[in-house]
Amino acid sequence: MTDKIDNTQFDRLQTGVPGLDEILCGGLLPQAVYIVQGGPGEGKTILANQFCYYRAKLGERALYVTLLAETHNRLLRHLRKMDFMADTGDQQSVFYGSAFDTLRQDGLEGVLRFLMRNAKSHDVSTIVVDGLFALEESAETERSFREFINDLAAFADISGSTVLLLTNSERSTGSPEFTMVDGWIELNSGELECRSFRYIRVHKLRGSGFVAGRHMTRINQQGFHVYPRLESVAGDARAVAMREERVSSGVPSLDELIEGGFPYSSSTALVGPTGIGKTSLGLAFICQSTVEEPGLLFGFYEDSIRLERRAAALGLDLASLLESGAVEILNYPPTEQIVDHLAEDMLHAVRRRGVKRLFVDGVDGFRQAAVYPLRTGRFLSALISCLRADGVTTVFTAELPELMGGENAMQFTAISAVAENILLLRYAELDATLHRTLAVMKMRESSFAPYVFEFHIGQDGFQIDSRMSGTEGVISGLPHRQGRGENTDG
Amino acid sequence: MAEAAGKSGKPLILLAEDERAIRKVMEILLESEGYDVMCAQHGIAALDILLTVTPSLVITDYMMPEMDGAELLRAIRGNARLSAIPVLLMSSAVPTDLPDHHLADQTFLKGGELESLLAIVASLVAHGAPPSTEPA
Repeated sequence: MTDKIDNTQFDRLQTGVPGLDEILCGGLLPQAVYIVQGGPGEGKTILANQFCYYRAKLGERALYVTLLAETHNRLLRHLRKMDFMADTGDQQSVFYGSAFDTLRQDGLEGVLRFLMRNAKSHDVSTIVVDGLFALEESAETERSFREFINDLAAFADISGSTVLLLTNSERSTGSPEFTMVDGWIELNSGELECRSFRYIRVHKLRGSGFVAGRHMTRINQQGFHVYPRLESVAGDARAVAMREERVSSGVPSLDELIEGGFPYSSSTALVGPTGIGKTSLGLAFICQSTVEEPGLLFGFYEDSIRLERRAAALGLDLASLLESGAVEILNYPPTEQIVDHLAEDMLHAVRRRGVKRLFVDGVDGFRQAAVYPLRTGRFLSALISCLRADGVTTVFTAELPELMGGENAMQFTAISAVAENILLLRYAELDATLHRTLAVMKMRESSFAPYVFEFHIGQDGFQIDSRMSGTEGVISGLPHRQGRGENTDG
Repeated sequence: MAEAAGKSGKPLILLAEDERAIRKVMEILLESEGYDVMCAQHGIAALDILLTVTPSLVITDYMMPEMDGAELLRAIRGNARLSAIPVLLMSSAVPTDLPDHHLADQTFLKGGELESLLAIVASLVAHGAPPSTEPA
């Protein structure tokens, strides 16, 4: 007899599949029947086994019944490589059985009796039937198949079991089994140019809300992982109470222009072309971190060694800050990332260390990772909302070849929507000389010096110089000396 | 009351339940526990069966068409030949909130622990009373 968890005390069964409970609003409802539908290789077996072993870790038992010709040894050989199986000390809590012969000899009635008999004798609370399509094929009539599902639901209710029916059937969504079960979860994949991606979608969860739509998934050594769309689960994060506190940019001469620094828990976009000095300013900001108020540098293009060298060239001792734990660097090459995975890792790192300063070097990395780029604006809004709620002051860099936006860059409007503060960094070509310029375009709830300033970058770091005078058109990208007309060379 | 037996010599249970799937699953479960089972779709059908057999236990759902569980209970308790038959009343509603639930020997909330249900059934069949909850 196992020490069963009394599910009647809980509304939900946690699945042990990271991210899945979030889109199920807490987990599966007990005493219910679910269809997990997906083509071959979409991860049905892994997901179901992960659920079984997680429940086994909690002291429950599971019955995993296959209706396929595949041997259990073959099934388990692959699963044994998964961490979730290795983590479970008591592997005797998940019982595997084949009802393949029973189905051939005794039909659906025989399988029902098989399931009830074995579920009862093993005292299980979870039943997985792998190969529902085999039952569909064996059913003499549509009605007998419907009755089987109905009988199984009755058994789940009477016995207090949770039943997962795995199928690769592509029957239409109007098929009766989908209306009869309590929940319907689809596992699927798609293609974007050369890229392939997996996703999960909950179609139905009787008696409960759920987070609809596609959520990206990944299968690896740890098992099945769901990455809920951030904007669908985190949009309501409540911000911390407003504080009058200012967070230094790391550049005193810049702080003077913005009333002492960036507003606490605000988001600041450093917008400008490549090479202008955005990362240098971001490094100055992050190097103000302390062990008590730690910082996180989240980037896509430069690893810690390169960043340490760049910081050293600015007179910043990033290496010591890394060593002391005041700063952590997370670098994700802009390859085939899952944008919600990036957000999950970032927020986890923020919460793990109580990060107060965050520098995101290259916010466009999120857009590049997105399978659906149109959601980038909503995603960033949700991400900033989460960071604000955690009391994090964020600085991020954004490429912007032209103020009005270029096709390959994130649109200015998208950045403006998520950035409470915007610093525009531009080159101005005047008198055959390139000038680095900075202008504050937006600053949350505070005034700022409404001028264009020249700045330089050197061993003394990022330094604001004098206010540009006698010039016009710097912000619009058409700088010229006052009274001389536009400098069309620039 | 003497234990009544089915044709096979096993204790006989009469199950009154209008939902086909629950009726079927309960029948399989009870048979696997060593009982003979006769099924009725509602109270009237159950009373028809009770005209010819005297089961060891009647398990009845509360909400049924034609004649519900409360009416069936009253009919059983009002009949001298049947009144001593133990009755287990099952319902999706909290059984103790139901009128006339006290006429049943035991009530059981549907969806409760299967082991508890089977223990109650065994005790009612063997002793005509639910399992004792008194400490040993």
